[in-house]
Amino acid sequence: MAQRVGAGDGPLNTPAWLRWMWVVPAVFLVALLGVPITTVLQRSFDVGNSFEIAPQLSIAFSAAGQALLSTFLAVCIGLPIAGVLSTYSFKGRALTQAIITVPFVLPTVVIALAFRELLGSILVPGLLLVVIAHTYINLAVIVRIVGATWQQLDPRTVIVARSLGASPFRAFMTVTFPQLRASLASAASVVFIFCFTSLGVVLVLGDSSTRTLESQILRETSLLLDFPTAAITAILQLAMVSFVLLLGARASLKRTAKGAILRFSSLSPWASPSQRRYVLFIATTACLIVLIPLLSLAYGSLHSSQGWTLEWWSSLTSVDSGTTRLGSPLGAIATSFKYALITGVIAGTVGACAAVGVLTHRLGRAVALIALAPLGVSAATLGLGLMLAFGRPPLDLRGSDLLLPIAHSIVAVPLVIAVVLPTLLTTDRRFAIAASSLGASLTRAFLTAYGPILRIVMIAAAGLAACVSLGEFGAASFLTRSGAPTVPVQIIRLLQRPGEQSFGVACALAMVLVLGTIALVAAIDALGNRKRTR
Amino acid sequence: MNQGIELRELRVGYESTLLTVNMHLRDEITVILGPSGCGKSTLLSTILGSVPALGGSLVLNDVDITKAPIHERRIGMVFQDPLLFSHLTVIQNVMYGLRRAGVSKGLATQKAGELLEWVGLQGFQSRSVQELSGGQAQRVALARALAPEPAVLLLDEPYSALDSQLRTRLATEVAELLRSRNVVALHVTHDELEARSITSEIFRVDHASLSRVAT
Repeated sequence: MAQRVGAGDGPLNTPAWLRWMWVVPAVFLVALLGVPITTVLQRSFDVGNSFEIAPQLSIAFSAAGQALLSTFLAVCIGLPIAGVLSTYSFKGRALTQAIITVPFVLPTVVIALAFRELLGSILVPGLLLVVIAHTYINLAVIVRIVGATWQQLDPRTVIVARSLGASPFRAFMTVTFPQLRASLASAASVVFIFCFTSLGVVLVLGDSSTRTLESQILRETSLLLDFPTAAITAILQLAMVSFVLLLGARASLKRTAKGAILRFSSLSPWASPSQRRYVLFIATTACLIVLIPLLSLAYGSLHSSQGWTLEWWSSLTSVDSGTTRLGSPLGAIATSFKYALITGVIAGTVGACAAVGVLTHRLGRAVALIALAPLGVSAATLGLGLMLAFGRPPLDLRGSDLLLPIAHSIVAVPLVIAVVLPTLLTTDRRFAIAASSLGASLTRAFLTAYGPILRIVMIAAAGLAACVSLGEFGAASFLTRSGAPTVPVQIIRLLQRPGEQSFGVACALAMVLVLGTIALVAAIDALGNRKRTR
Repeated sequence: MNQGIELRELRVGYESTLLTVNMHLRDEITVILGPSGCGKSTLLSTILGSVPALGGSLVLNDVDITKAPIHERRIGMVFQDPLLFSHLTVIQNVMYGLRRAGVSKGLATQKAGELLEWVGLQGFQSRSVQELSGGQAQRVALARALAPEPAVLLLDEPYSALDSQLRTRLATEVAELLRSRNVVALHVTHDELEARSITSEIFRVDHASLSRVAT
């Protein structure tokens, strides 16, 4: 009898050490997420009798509406871009892919400022500006997560559908889309949560109608100093986010259509003139959408009231640049990249262990679901929790270089799982069975079936985690060491100070982050492509 | 009226592998024989419309379809792999082309059932395509390709993944089935034994063109 294609049901027949993979993320989450959050709740869970939930619920519903709209737009714009980048090979493809990823890794406050600079004279702060900025930031999530699955679909299935009379749109809807549904659900739930818990964009581009629970938590902790109410708000946010995550995870665990036809596809160099025009149009539009706001930043880094200048760039090495005395901007750049590297290693390892755990042990699914929880925890709450739990004896990590990368890893692990898990679930397990039948040990059989794809998606996911670290601000604002700020923290500190020099140096720093990110993502892509062709 | 499909000075391939083909297919099964990389599959892809022709023209029943989109050509294709739609059941796969042609669900179900019976898979209607063996999957792919009654059927080494005994048996069996339906078919293979089990109309790729094999 023929074997099933796809992951099959139940855990794989694997060696004992692989069956315990779920323990790694479980310990990581309990120690580094559970303990800090419990500490925060213990400190602040003392709400008075006069507390009312209605204002929080009102904010939650308006934030959900904003997040739905942002997610819908990100999917509508991101899907065609993912399709073009995953299906066709063309000159500049790697660069386009890198450019698309940039907004996701930039500090949200920087993007918000760029849009305020770009559209501030046309649009007043409010829902539209917030939605535009959220769509811009989250395009990369759709393109990367959905594109990773799309690239593995056999393009010949679409040709078969076309030969059976389906128009291009019909072929997409009836053949491609069903196979993308799982990763799309996974990506859309991630985008929704990012928009629902947004802070920087809402603070800079929003008005009173676009508040999120995250901005409310910040308001309650920093302005009103009302920790008990902030705790209740955080719990409400956690409950709503958990619900969305469960919906997304449920769809994702259903797999990319049972046993979808997957392969390591080579990108198609073939294209009719109309296809070529379509590819050119989508790639160019995607780059323009991303680059125009960034160009306004570049303009800011090269322009002063006196005209064109290189002064802001030459000030990067100066300790007193932009009048801040917290170390040189160059030092901040080094710190950010060091933390990004550590985050990539930690989050890549923990996330991959969680994904492998789903394949190898029944408890793995539960752990993978719980590992998505950090998406629902406010970054500021997380930073505060880590500082309270591990910032003083008996375990004081403030002096080490680990505290902030740990926070960034907690934030990035859900993304790593979202990238790695759907791919592993749709890998044909029969390769492992075939290898075993040829005399391979259980370890060798697993590595034969899953090793090559795991290596590729781990590199991609670790790169994404590193990018998250580069742009993260919420937790960094709590955990960054005063003499060694990260680039986003340094930028915010500069922007909080008046003066043209502060703004100019902040723009130059932001541009360094933009260029560094493009280089990082292009390098990851090149490495992934090289491994794939082996 | 000139029935069948004509390949008039059709130039296909890549820069390194160019093939110029003159051929008229009607009421018969024709086989093209040649080693891997000689351009056989690219020729089929060009006829199907997924790869643009570099020159010449393609005429189907007196209509120039050289630049027509794939879904308007009425040309079916069976690939090396069955490429069944994994999210659909066996019968839904066979119904796919009929539904795209606007056939009602009831009639499509009936026709698809008949086709499955014709390829010897009665009782497989509601099965998942993952439950099929290689030979069964290829039969479903054949039924699916024939369901919308294409003017021409292209077969791109459809049995290469099967063992040699099954390959020859299935090739003969399918050829008989196609003849019984008067289907115009172009079959490419690298296996001379398989080619001879199908038809006497055999061409070999030879110096960037096709030459008839003496039988």
